[in-house]
Amino acid sequence: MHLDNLAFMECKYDVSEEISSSVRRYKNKKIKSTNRKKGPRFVILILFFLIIAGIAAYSLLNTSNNDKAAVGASAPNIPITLTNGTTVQLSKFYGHAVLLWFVTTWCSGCEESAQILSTQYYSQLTRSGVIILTVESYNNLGYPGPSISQFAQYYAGGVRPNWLFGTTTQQATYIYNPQADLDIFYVINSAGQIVYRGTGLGAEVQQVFSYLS
Amino acid sequence: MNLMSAIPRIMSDVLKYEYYAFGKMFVNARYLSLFLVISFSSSALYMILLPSLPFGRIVISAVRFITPLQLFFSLIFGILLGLAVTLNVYSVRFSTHNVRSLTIASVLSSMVNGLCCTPAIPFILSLGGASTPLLYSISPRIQAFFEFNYPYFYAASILMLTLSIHYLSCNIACCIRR
Repeated sequence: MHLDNLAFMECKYDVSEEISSSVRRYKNKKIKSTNRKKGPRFVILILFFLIIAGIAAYSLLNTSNNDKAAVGASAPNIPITLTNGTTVQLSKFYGHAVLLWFVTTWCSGCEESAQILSTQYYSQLTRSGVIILTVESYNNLGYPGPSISQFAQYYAGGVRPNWLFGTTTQQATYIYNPQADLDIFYVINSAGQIVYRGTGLGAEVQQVFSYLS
Repeated sequence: MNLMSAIPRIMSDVLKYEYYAFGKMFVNARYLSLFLVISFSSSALYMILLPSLPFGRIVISAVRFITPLQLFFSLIFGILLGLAVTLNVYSVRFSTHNVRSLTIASVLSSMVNGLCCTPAIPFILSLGGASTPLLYSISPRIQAFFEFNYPYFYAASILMLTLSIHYLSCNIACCIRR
């Protein structure tokens, strides 16, 4: 390693030069800006913001039209393959309040949420008659991670009464997780109606209680 | 030149401005207390913030999930940020060139882990008009990148802060000598 390689660490600011050159730059800039016509740039900026706003409005409207799992609507029925190998329908749980939670097992937020739920809220939720369904988004959203059984074992203390873990189909994941969120959950009341949708369960678990009451 | 024998000379050459600037600055008790307050509070804030970032908001109960790397980074970052901010404040006294942009960039790069698990990336992509299949093909890859590579951003953040402290020390040392 040659000492010249460390040249970038040397002091590069000569204060007097810096000040005089910045004053010069400022003066030149001011002269240029007064000479330049402001009109075209302003129009281009407005057009740019209009295009962005248009795309945003289109995509938001488009999403809401395709969103079948909307708050206020009945929860679409989907198949869930549980860790014991049996496949059940979501409709089987209608009659109970359900916390339907879509996770990706490689996401640190999901791991933390599972631990928060397990240690702080599990007893309270199940005492309120809530069934927790933790479902791995289809194929872990295309990125490898632990299986849902391992996730349950590591972060939730295993499969426990009224807390089930499973996987589902691509179609079901598209319905409940249309934007490929890593951690999205739904609160479904005993009538099978979606009453709340949120992301980051660990941070929003208090909301679940308020919506169930 | 042998690298091992050159290290002490390089260190004294490179750090001479830091020694000078810190010596001048910390003689004044006000700057020393400012440094201590900023270092302590920013370290504490980072210890809460870093494990909360995957939620996209402050979650106090997430503090217990802090990893050893995050703890180490919080302490180092707090000390360096304290130095950078105090040097910036000190440099105002001499109207020297300050390096705020580097400090701000380092704070931002330390927070990229928040992009992994929050809906920020899918939301930005959907604003761009991406459909569900397109979102499924792009968004998880970007999020996984931030999920697994955040230590590199921590390193970049520390490097930027170190450079900003070096440049600030140079400016202060040069200015006072004049």
